[in-house]
Amino acid sequence: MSIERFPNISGLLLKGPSGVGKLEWCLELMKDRLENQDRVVIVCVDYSPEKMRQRAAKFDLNLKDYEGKTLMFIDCLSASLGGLSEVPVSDSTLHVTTLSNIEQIGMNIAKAANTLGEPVSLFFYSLSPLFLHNTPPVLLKFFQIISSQVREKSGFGVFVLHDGVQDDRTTDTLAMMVDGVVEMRFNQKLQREIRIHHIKGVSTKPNWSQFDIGGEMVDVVLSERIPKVKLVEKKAGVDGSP
Amino acid sequence: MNRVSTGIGSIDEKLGGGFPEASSVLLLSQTPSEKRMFAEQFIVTGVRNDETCLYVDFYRSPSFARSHFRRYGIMDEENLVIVDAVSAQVMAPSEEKYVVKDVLDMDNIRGVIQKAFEEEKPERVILDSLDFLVDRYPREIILDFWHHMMTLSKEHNSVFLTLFINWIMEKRELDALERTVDYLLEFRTKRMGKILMNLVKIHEDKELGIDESGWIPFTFESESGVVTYSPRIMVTGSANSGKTEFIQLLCSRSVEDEDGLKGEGVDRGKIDVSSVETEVFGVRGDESFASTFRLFSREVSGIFLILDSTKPEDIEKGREIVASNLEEVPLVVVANKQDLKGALTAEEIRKRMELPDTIPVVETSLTRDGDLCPALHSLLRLMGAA
Repeated sequence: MSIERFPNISGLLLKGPSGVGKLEWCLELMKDRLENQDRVVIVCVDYSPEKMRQRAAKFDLNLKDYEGKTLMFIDCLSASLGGLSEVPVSDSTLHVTTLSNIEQIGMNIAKAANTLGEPVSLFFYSLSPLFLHNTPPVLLKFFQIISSQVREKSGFGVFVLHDGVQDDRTTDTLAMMVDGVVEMRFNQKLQREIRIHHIKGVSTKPNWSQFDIGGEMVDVVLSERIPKVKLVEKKAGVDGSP
Repeated sequence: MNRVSTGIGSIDEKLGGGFPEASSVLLLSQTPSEKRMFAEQFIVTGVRNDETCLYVDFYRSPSFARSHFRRYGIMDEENLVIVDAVSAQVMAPSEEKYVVKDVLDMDNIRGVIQKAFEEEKPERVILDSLDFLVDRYPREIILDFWHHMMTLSKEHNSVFLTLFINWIMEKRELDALERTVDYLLEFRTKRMGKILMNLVKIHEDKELGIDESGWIPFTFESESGVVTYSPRIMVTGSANSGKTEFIQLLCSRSVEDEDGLKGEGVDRGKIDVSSVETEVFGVRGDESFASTFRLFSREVSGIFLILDSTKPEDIEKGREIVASNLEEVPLVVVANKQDLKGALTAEEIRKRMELPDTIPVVETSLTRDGDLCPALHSLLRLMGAA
């Protein structure tokens, strides 16, 4: 799976329902970044790093090859599930004790970026479970700090949101704090669709395009002025509104 | 009044030996920072002094917290009493004596902590942390709880430290909180050069007659625990390039005479960088530079490379020094002695050294007043401290 570079914006919100393919798209972007010797930090909230490795392997991406060199994990899950009783020593994984401990997530992102060297590409998968453990005002402030730090250090950040966990107003506020929003959905026939909602400073087409996971690859034209992004897809773009 | 040591020598010194007994301390930050490291050091110090220490933890399971404490070295854990407010959150069993069964029941929280106070009579208490509660309870309940905790601490003569990252509290609310404590310690984490720096500032009660401190950098060292240090800027270059004069002009206070190090190849001074006292030290750029530098490059926040612009032979030595900067510590080349005839310009030096644009070359002459400002500002910009 080859992929052309997604525009190097500092903050991207990727939203859509569970199971639509957000993780797979993130893995595509991660692969592109890692293969281009970029430094990558993955914040694992929904899945453990091991699960993330397994999912990545299915897309021909061996994360272990990069770990401790240009890739680090922030594991928010293992300790909070009681799977860890001690602080493990690892060059590639930093742990967060509970999902309410968002300060530790912030500190660990800073530590990982400092260890790898800045700028880094940050993949936050996902913000949504944090809303079950913290109130929206606190998380919005946390998000503002983290996204500002990514921007300040010329980094690239992808923040994933699952539909239905947080309210629309919170989602809109999060969208306001990033440079671009990519949306995914299932259409009425339960086919997967993707569109660029907006990217600041770049003209984009708001068309929905069908894609599938594991099918043949086709291009999705995001804009006439920015590079194409290849997803694992089977159909070309279909115009439509949300 | 007895003082309770923080376990960090230079902080104790600024506090006149530590916090007074029965005092309350707020460890505050506006962004993620290492407050917990400070609190852990405070507890470990107490445990080693055979004092009973109470740690109320809303964020870490007791086993995870204890493993954190073990990083500080050997201690008798019997003196460490943990109020476990985490196990019930993740529906895990707890073996602790004091367990908060429901973090959404303030009576339960207060009752468990009060019981622990009464039975254990702790000399040191940590609440980790107030932001967990602020995110779950109305302000009036928080303030009532807060006053209750401070009353308990005073009654038991305990030093009471509270960790708090202020995500959402408004200034007037925060001011009200700050006014109730005896000491406010402010924390921040800042990257300076390649170093992620933890900083603490002591805001002390004026009634106690002690002033606010500057920002004090601290770090964690395995077995030793928390230690404070000075960030460092290195000044290097060939012999007679002007390193010593550069340091003397740059620094408000030279310390070379204090240590009697002059003439031994090391010059030192201190400078204020973003309210952080920073050490400036000179190192000869001789044959042993590369191997020596490799050992301490990660402790250096920035480098001035001083070149005698009239000596083209300095250029090759300068190239070697730049090449040995493998950690890419922020570096500024200072093209010195521009007042002398035949001096190469900054552009000529850049070309001869084949420097990338990311390394500034700044012309200077140490005989002219104010000449160091452009060089200093260039380095501070690269260090993220300007």
